[in-house]
Amino acid sequence: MLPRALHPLAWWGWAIGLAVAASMTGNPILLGLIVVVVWLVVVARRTDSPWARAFRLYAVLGVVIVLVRLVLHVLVGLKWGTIEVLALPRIALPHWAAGINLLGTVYLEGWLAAAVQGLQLAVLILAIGGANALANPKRLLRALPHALHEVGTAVVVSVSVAPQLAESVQRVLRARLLRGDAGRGLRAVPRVALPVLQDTLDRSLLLAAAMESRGYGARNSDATAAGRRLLTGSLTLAGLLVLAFGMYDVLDPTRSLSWLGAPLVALGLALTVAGMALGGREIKVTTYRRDPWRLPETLTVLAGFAAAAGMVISKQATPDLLWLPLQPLAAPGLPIAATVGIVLAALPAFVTPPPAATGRPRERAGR
Amino acid sequence: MKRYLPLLLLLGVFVLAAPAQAAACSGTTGVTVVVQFPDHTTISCAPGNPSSGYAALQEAGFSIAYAQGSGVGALCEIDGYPGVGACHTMPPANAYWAYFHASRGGSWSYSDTGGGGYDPAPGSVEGWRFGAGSAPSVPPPARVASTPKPTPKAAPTARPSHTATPVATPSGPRSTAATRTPSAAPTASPSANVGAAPTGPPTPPASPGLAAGTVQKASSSSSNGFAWIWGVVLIAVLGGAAGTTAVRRRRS
Amino acid sequence: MTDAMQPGIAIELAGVSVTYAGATGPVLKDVDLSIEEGELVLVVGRTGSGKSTLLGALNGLVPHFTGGELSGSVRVHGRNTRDHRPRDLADLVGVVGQDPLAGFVTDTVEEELAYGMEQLGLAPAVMRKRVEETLDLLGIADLRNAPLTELSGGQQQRVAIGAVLAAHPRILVLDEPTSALDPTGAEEVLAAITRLVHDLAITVVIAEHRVERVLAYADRVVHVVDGRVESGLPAEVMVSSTIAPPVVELGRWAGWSPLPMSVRDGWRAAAPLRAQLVEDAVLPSVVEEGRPGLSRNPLLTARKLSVRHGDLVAVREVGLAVRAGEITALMGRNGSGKSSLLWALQGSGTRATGTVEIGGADPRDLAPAVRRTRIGLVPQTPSDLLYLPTVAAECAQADRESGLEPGSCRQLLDRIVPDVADDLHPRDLSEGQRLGLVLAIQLTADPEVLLLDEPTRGLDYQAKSALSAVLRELTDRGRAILLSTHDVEFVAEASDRVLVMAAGEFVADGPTAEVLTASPAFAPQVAKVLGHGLLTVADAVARFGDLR
Repeated sequence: MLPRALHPLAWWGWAIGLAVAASMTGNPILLGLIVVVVWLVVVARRTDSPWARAFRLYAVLGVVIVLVRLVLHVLVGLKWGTIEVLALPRIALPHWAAGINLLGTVYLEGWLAAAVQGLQLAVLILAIGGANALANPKRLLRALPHALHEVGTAVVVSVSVAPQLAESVQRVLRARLLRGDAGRGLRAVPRVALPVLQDTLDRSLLLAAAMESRGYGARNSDATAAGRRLLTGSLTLAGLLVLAFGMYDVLDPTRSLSWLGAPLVALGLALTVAGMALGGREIKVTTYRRDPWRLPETLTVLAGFAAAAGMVISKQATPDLLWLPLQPLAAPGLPIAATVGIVLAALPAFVTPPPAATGRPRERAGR
Repeated sequence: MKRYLPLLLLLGVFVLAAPAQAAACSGTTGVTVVVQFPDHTTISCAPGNPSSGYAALQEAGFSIAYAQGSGVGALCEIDGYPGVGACHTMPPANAYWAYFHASRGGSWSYSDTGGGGYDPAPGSVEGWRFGAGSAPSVPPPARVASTPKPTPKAAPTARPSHTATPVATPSGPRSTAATRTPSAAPTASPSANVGAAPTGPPTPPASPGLAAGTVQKASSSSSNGFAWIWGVVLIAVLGGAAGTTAVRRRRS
Repeated sequence: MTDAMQPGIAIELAGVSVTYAGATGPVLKDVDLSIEEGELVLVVGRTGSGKSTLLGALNGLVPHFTGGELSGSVRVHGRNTRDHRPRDLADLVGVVGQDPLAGFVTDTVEEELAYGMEQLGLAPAVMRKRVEETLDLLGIADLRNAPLTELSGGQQQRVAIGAVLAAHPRILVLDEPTSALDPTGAEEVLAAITRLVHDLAITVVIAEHRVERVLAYADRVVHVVDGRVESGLPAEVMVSSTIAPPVVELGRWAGWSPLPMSVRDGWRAAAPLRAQLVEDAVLPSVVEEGRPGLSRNPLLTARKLSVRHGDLVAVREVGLAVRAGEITALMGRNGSGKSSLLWALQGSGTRATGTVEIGGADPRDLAPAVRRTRIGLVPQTPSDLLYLPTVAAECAQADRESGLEPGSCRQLLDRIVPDVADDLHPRDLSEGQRLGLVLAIQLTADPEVLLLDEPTRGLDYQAKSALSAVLRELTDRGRAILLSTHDVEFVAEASDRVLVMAAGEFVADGPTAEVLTASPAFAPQVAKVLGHGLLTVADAVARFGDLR
């Protein structure tokens, strides 16, 4: 296969499949499998762009999540189980804070349950981080319908402001030393925050001015534009409202009118799509080099889907194998369908075209 | 010894659970525990001064389990009910064990804390009902030491609950219980414990969930066997592939 | 609304006045100006004279985006900015700002080039073709997939220009496109711009502080003084301009007519002067002529100093001694390690290896508050140090930090930049005033060594001479100064010694005259015109006396 970038939506579909799978299981073996699958595909198919290098940050974040969950369990978790691992005195809290267990003896089962829970969240984040590393989020926005163009641009701007903000904080912190001000704590906040905010504001204004003068937001203008905009707005808003009610009805098991959910969702979707189609017609933006959708894209999405489907099958067949047995404690099982599904999700590492090389500048920008 | 502790505990729980009959505490000490399953109600007494709502449940002879998934530590099963899968996620709002406090002969009030964070006063009543959060339909038993409550449960073998039996000692004082201990084993004849039928102790139709749950729990540890080793091997293979890919791509 | 305009006129301003909200007076007063198609127009003027407002008015950013009130009319190829917002003029006017990175919307070169065209709704096939053309036109084809953040400054600026050009505007407006660039980067950009003018007959309006870089190419110069505008041929306007490059200053002093606009013009006019220099043949040594305060003993010594950022070695084992009474200039292209070196010397930045010694101590081991009394640093973005709402508050805080009686900082400030109102917000100061304020704050601690990172950015000629005078006053009191800059003319005027850095190492070190005249890339205009170790107009005056 010739090197090219895969359609960003394909990577996101794949990652969402894995995330769904991760959210359904508390079996450390399955979660570990998802981690290595994501890792394998990411190292095999990422580019060397800055956002691809951010994958490491997601991995670090995952580890932090598990650790925080473990510490929180010791601090305030509800300790349960039978195998004592850490005998700590329990600190009595006043009545108004009843329900919070400060310290207290830690048992292995409770701690393991907390760790698995943290791991689940970490894997979820890692899967999303994988998609982020493989598909530039800004390119993803280009694949959205025209009506979402403006929302998309807002997201692009905020995405690019974040790293600048970090850089700015770093710079100001360093500059503060020059004034002999090594103070920390609350007093230091305005000294850092004000220059940083000012800097961010300046940059945002510059960006906005640049976008304005490059034609961002120009519309096909005609006499009926105002009326059409009103119609677009009301259609989309009504659609989203109906969709929200419908979703509520579908997802809430205690609902009273169970038959109403699906039709409401369908109606809401229809209204929203109509609104967007109408709104999209007014925007004259075109897309440069739209990413193609070919067989590897379909395979990638199917691979992610396989992980989720395998998990669903295992949940029907052997629900207990999806969880680490804790009451009593035992070794985790290995549900076949879920395992096969997750292993299938590693396929994109082989069946997708390799990423195109980025033309790196010969000299690097300084600093 | 420690390794077997869970198993022992489980046994103990069943030992104690077996005779759990409708019996409110008789004196001013002890916490009366009312547990209402969908098809029957069990009243029992946790002697002495249990340290929490969960402890009261356990000391009154009920077995409990905690949710593992998104609702870590929440109570999800009492005596194995509702069974399969209930402990993998946070119980839903329309099917969970609702927790109530009451004084003897008083009225139920919904607990604003979980069973682990509440310390019931001796002589009070604790109520648990499975469902969408409504109070037990049985009123809290009044403090009449000798009179059994006029619930359907006849409770002929009202147990001498003052003989405080520590949870972890399986050597239950009652022979009836002792004979039934093996029911905790994988063979699990749907047992005995919850005396729901008005007719008395022998084999009620109640709680299939428990039976299933018991089988599940006991079997899961053995049937998983060494399957996890295959899982670890898979992880190692895929991880190795990822590692070598990473190294190779960095070099190029 | 499309009004008929005279044929051949690209931009027409008639009676334009601009007043910003809350301002006491108009920024532009009654400006009449017409710019012909295909002209390269250079806009000059002191900081705060209204240059940026004039440029902003050309595509409607003033007042649609900035606010304020514009009277009169601005018409661009027949479209009045009163009825057309900047976005509606995007197909006619392309605007490139000072900081290219701040205006980038996408991540990679190719996408950035396409962005403007996408907004205009061009067909994908057309975009494909134009992106390729633009890549070639600006010589950035090998960078097509490169992330924008990893380009050098000159490359970024060329991409910014390309991104605007791809949409085929008829007018290109550039607001100080080279102010953040090193000489090479600036050359790249200016070469690209002149090529556009000559090959595509595009109208270019460009504002630039360092006039010497652009003047030679300009067809017309628009001189903005206090909101009023005069325009004319470069040689005419330069006779009385408040902003003039050294070669023009030299011409004014020597009384040449017409005034030289470029080094070439100057060289031809200066033949008699050069002949006189050869006759005299006695070269007074400009260097080492016993300036007051100059000593043999170094105030600051660094040995084997290295700085690394991850894999990148920014500074590689350099040794350096700075003597009291000496102004040392640190030159080199963007990314050669100048900033890293300054920060490491000051002790607040990271350092991988090596030692720094000042007054018997390593500044890194000192507490920040003590450190700044030995060695001060004015960073590249001086505003990072400012966080209080008024100039007076900043000054009072600086006095407290240094434990001096109130008013010390204010006195310094008055000496550096007079007439800065106490109640102004530091944000509202001009670039030069803000630098002055930060300089005053850092000087309140009275450090023995002062480091300045790119202090001349955004300063006009007058502000630069003022800065140079302040620095000279410091060295006369026995202080040492090390500054990094790209500005050859400023180095020629202000420094005693020049260090040239490349890839983290020193490649040249010596007296200013020696280093600057050694290569044409670093030579100031006067040196190119006269040679013989003369670097500035002041040198020439000292050498020849008053010719008139």
